[in-house]
Amino acid sequence: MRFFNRVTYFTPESVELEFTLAGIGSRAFALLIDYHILFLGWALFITIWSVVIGQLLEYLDRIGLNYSGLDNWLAAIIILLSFAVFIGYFVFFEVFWQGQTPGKRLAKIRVVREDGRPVKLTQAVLRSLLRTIDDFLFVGFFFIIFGRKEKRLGDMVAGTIVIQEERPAIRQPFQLSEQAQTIAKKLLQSANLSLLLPDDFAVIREYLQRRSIMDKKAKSQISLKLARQVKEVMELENLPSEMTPDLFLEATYLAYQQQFGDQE
Amino acid sequence: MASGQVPQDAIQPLTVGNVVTAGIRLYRSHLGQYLGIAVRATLWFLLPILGFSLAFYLAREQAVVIALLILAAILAYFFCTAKFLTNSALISRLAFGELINQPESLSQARAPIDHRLWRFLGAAFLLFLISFGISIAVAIASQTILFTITFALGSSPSGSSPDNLITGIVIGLTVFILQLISLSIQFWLNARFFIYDTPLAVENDVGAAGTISRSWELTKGSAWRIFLISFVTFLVTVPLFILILLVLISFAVPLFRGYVSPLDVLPVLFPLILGTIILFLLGFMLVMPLWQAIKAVVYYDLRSRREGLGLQLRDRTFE
Repeated sequence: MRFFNRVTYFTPESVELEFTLAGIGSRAFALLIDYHILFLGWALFITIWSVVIGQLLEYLDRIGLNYSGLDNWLAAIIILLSFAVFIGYFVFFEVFWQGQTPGKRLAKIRVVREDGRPVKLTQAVLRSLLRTIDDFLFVGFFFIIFGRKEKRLGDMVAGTIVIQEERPAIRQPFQLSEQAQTIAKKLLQSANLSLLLPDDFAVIREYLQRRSIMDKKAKSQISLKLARQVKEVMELENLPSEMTPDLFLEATYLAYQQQFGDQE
Repeated sequence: MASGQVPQDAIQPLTVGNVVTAGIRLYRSHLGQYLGIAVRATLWFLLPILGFSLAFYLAREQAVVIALLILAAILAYFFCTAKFLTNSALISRLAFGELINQPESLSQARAPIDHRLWRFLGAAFLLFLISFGISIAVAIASQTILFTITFALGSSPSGSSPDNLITGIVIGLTVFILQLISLSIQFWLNARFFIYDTPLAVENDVGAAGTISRSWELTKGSAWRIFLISFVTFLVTVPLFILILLVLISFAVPLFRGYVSPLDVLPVLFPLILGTIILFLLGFMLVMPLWQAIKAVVYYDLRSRREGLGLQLRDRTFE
């Protein structure tokens, strides 16, 4: 079943762009992180402000000025400034980090305009202004869960969507043992590598990449299973020499790569 | 899909946010089914409480009957708790089936789960023992540390004023740090045993102790991630409880309005408390399938990361 909503956009040049929407979980997670950072920053701001105002009031006391109405002014100023900090945090990051705040960066999601273009100041401000309703009255929460494009009020007004970041195709390099090369050469001669589909190659590569974080017992089971399946697919009767399943898979990987090139 | 990505058959690890989104998605698409099971589970949970309250009320004169009823109540309590647990686990099993693209029908899934009824109870009981034991150990350890430091600094633990400010600060800081540590241990344990019933629901040949050790083993190194997932899930359920609170407040405030002394309020208090209990039970019933679905997703994610679940060559000629 489809867990994540997709949005397709046709550019004027008839190019089809497809985005995966972020989903409520990632957005809630990003919001959690953002509010923590925001709160810490705001607390710091308030502390500095209090020190400054304390000094100011002390000075006014010393020169004997009557500042009876000042309290109200100060309260008003601090409320406005707090609101500015709250909005400003989101606006600043969404504009300068191409639609990502620190929280969104951790959650690997991004705010973009509906056509995939990056957000500008207008959109960022509109989104943030509506946060008071969306976040604190939980209205946005319901809109995200039940909307087709997962737009909260801020998104609707600003014409933005929040998408998941596409993981780059650059793979992490993984270790291959030295014997793999020699065995790969033998495989190129003896085995029918063309019977392997590119998808199978991708699965082998995925295994080789993920094996370092796998549990030892499971890893040996999986490598054995994969090796057997690969051997059967390639119609290889006998292995060139004694080897572990891991080694066989590494050799197959190298051999396939040499024969067909690494199709990224 | 972007080129170079693994075909849909091989399963990719999920991020924290995606786990929660997937869980919510599962719940939404099977709302009727999961809620139905949750209703059954809640009813099983209520059955001993309500049934035996009624029985005790009716038999309030006869002592022998009361004694027998107490015995029956204890046995029924265990049975009904087990039933509650199996229904919860059923949701996890159904959710997991969806995740690995091998969905089961309700009756198909229920059969093996009901078969393991007592193992679920055993697992829950074991978990309770383990948590209880560790809480006690942590409490003893922290109190010992606190007393040692207090004595070392020269003041008595009965709270008489410390000799100087430094001692007071040090003791205060120690208490704070100890509380933080015991809280972290609590969270960490919750994370490590988060999926304690899922292996029993999904895998074959797992016993009560086996499912707990499986949860321990699978969650190695992922405790922090699981904690974040639980926290986000909890956040997502908060709006529902705020709604419940609002409903309660809107009823309670006008009710309390004309009363002067606490005694006058008493006749109104009972229905209010009953209402609160019912509403929170409803809230719990609505939220329980989400947690079970999230547990299934976490289990699936951990198995795909650590054990390469689903990592196999595309099905062609072999099964």
